[in-house]
Amino acid sequence: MDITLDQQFFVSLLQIIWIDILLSGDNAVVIALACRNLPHRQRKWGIICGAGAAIALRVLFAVFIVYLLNIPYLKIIGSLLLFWIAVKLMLPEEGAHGESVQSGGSLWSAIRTIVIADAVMSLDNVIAIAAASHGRVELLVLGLLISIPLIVYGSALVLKALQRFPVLITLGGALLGWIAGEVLVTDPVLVGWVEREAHYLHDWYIAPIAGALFVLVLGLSLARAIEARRRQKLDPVS
Amino acid sequence: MRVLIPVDGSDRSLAAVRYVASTLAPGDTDLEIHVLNVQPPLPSAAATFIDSAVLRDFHGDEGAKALAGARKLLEDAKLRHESSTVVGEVAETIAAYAEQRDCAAIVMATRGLGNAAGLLLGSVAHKVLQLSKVPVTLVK
Repeated sequence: MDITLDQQFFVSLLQIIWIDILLSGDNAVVIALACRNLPHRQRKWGIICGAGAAIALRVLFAVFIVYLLNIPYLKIIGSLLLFWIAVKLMLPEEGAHGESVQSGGSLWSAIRTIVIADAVMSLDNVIAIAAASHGRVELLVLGLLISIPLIVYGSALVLKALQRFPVLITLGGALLGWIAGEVLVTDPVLVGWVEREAHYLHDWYIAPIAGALFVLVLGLSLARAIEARRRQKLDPVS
Repeated sequence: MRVLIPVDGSDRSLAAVRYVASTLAPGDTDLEIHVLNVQPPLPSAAATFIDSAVLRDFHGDEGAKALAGARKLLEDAKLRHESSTVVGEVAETIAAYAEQRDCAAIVMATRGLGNAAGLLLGSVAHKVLQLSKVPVTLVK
């Protein structure tokens, strides 16, 4: 593996760390919450297994994605997925409405929740890291390594940081939108056309800027709508 | 008079409770104190996977922890009070609560981030000042 350290490397690394904090932190929060109502001993096991599965799934997805990203059209699909992940990241929890599925507090139901969440969130995380690493395997591997302690130990820390400074999430959404725009115009199918006819999309950062703005506008307006609905009828939880 | 004291559980935020207990309460026997803790919502990506009853529990417990200090102060001062936890964007929810529960004033502490950090990270106190329809007292 040829490791070169340059400015682009550090910019990408910073992006990846930020993405990991947001997307792996989320995953850790789900694991902690899913195990909340378990008896003490089972809780420990639930968290260990949940974190282990999340890490294993990330490695698995990462191995596949390195091969996949050079196939035509897949960067376009990845970019669209990334837009979806970015907007989703910016939305707050909707709050309880309608009936809730009763959680029995059993180990089995906790595991089910964790496995589903791990699969979805690991895929989100790997797509985002792969896009931010611009096909450099060493960055992808670093991104995975950084996400591991965050999944295992990060839940309380990440939660406090994100709740206290929500702007971290907003800027994180913009970052993902930026990367999604970048990835879109480097798909093998589009790259030739972009170079000939619309080089400014790439060279002048028009595509990433548009991607970031798109996510910001959509994410913020959807989030605002959710918050406004919640505030119409304040519902104390205690 | 009904006064709203938002607290976040930090020692700093208790300054507002102390101020009310020592300055407002002695002169007003009808003083109704509402202590509010606003729990920021979880990111939806995480929340969609978790049962809503568990989420309520979680927010309730975190809220109770954040309210404990204020409750103790008020109980020690033998002052009648109500306390509750609500989930939402912090500043917006504080202003909405004051309006919906007919509070005559809001008394809150500042986080003390300073101008630059406050601008960058979002000062809750500044936002409440902008949004509130009732007088706001900031305690430093």
